[in-house]
Amino acid sequence: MEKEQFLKKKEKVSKVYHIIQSGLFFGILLGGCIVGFLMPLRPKVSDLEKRTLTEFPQFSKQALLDGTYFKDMDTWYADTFPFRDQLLAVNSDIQELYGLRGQQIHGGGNNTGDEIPTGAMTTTASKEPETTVAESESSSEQTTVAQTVAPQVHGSIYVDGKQAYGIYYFNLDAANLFIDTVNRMANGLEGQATVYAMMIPDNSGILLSESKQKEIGGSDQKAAIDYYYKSMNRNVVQVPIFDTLYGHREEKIFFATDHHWTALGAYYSYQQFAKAKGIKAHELSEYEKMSFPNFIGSYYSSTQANELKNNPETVDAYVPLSTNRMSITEKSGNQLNWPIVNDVSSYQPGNKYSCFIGGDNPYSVIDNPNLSDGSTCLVVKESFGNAFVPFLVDHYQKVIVVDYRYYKDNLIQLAKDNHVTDVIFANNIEAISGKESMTKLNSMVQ
Amino acid sequence: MVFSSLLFVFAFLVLSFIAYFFASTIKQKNIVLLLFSLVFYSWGGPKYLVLLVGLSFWSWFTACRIANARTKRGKKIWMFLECFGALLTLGFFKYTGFFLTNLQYLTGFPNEVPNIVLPIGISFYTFQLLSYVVDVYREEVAVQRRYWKVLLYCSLFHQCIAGPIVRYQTVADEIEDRSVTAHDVAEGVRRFCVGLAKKAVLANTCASLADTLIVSDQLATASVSGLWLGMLFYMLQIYLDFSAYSDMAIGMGRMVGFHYLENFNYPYIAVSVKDFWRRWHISLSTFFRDYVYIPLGGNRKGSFCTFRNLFIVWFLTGMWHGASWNYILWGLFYFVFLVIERLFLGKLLDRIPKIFGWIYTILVVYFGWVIFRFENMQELITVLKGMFDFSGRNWMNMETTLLIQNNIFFLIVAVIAITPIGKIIRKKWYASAEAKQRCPHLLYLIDMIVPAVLLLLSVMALVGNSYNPFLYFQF
Repeated sequence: MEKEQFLKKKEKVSKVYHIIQSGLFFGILLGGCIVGFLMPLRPKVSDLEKRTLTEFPQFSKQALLDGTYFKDMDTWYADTFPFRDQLLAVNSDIQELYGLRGQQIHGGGNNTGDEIPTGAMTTTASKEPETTVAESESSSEQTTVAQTVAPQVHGSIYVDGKQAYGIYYFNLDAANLFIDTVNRMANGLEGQATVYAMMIPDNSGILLSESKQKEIGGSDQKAAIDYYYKSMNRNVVQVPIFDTLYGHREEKIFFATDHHWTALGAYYSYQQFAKAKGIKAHELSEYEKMSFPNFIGSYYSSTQANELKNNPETVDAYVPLSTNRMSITEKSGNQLNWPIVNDVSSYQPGNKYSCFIGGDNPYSVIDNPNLSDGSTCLVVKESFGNAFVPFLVDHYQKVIVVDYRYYKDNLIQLAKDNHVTDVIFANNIEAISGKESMTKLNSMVQ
Repeated sequence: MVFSSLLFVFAFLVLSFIAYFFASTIKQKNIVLLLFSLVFYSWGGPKYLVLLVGLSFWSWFTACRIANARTKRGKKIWMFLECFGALLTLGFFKYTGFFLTNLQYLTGFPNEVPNIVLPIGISFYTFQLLSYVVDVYREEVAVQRRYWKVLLYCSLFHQCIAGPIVRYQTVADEIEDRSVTAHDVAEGVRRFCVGLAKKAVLANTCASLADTLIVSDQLATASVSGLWLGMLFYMLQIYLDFSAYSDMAIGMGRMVGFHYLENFNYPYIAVSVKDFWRRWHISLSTFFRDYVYIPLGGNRKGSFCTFRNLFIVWFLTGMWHGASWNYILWGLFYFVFLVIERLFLGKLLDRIPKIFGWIYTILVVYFGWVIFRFENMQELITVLKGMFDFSGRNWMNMETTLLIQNNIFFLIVAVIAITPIGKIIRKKWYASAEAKQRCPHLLYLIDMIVPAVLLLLSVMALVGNSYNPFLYFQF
């Protein structure tokens, strides 16, 4: 009798719990369902990942029949779910609990670089101009006004506490294509312009010990840079900066949360450039300095390592002496008049590196009102060049900046048309180790 | 659509529950389930819906014919016609490419192998329909005269595309009439949430870790420990992933009154290979047992026939998993161990401590998954060699070391999740409370909260989770 009573009571009690349990479940589902239908709450871009989120799929009969329409709808639904970035942040907090996350390697797989030849380049890169240029960047194109720098991380990332490093993998094919590009440029402009080449190392090459670099599996950056320089024609003027940067390694010449160098790193390299060109560099103290705190860079977006998020940095920028205005042609073809060093205080924490020359744009021109000697310089760069360009402004009547990833026309022709006197390749060795983008660059000097 | 997507959880599932709730009669409820199932299936490409609807129709038709036939011979003919239709469909869509590729390799003909896309879930629903018709033929189950109910049975979104392979006899009565209690719903909710978290949190993470360590164009340079660890994560992934789908299916069924049979019973604690296959994908192994092995004579016709039958079953089991030689090799790999156990090892294992049986089994299963993972034989050989290459390769590298450090607690949780520890604790706790005639309020409370927590964790993991592979789609 007692037992029966107990069972009855237990039944009753457990039923209450069961109802609450199911209620919680269906409540969360219903809540999620309603939030999911609140279209205005759906984000369109992710600041964290620096990309435009998936758009609602276009209807077509073909897409409907082969299932891609619904598949894209699936992707759209999850990709633009309301409060996405907040949910992602919580999720990354949870993932921090998966283990001891002081040191991490991201995106490595078992990547290895190619062997770096000890001699100069022996094979000449493809002579035939490439007819099809893969527009690998088109997916990350931004519609927002010149304020973003596309993450350009080819290799893997090594996180050690609050400092992250790029792991560099040498790619022989890409290297040869780049060398060939520089050589062709120098030959094509022989007698008209001087071609300078500045090979910019990754932060790991400067900041990490050699043994550590080996341990994380990266290629020897100094050897790689030697290979580049050794293989370039004699008419290319080398701007060696590796040892200079190495000498300043205790200073803040690279960011910790971002793969770029700082304006200070670029300044020391500018001094080396001035030496190579035989001009006098300005002192750092001559410039007006602008500072933008609360910068959390690309290493954080790639790894979501909390230590990086919790240690934001400051982006310093130095305003050119002669002018702070430039003309930008955006990817859309749209033209803008823009500050060379822009106040980015109100930008998202991830976008502060775009204070330099309006971020990455295919084509920009800076006219110096103080000079009229006809000196014109063409800078061929990816995002590392952005922090470097402001220092050049005072030395030329005109500075033309081309981001080869987005520019489409022939570079030799461009230099001829504009009576360019100096061409400067300012390139990060990791950024130029992608074969696809180097094929594109090479096709632009054919 | 896959269960582990936000659209399924927050839109499809919710709407289907609402519609189901407002349907008042069992007929209406069945219609709701059928309509939602058809939408669910169409999501992966509406054109294959024709196949599903057509094959169900054929099976319904042949089953009715079997029931109507007066003679044994007549029944048999219709049964064969059903098998012919179902297997031809499966064979065409799944194995034509494989067969022609091999033919081309041997004879040079044909010049071009057509690319036939595998319709989602075809391996599962053809087997369900086959079992239904054969059971009608064997008079183990009454024929279903209503076509739409056969279609409901085979297309039900709970199990249509990723199993378990539910027998018609399991659900025959529940299709006609079923009821749910608060306990059923709660149990279903718990099961669904456990499954979702297993998939979204555990299996997907294991998958990405395995893929970090095992990259097909970097196999030659991977460290020895990286390969071992990568395969360990793959082993965890494949169980967590697949059993998660069964958990969700069983859970969703339970919420609306269906009682599907268990498909997994903690396979990684098995103490022999035979034991493993009693615990792994139970609905598939019982299918082959009941519809292939026993009809061929099972073990009743002498040892030669037994081994022949086993060979056929394991060849087919391998082949069912995919149209590639490595799956067949994987099936035959198990055949070898099962034969060895039958010959002498089984008796030996019974006599020695269980731990040895477990070590032996887990190693066999582990290497089984190595074979299973690589459709490319060259890669398979590279990996197997690499795992024992202690002179030429790095034993350890920093990436592997860091990966272990970075995920050590996750690994512990994942390993606990594949054991019945949680289940045992829960059971003991309930039993001891029962004995003391006390209500285990704390346990009730935990049971009440845990599903919601798991659901929230899963949702978080699914948001922006572009990495969401669904392993069993190809089968």
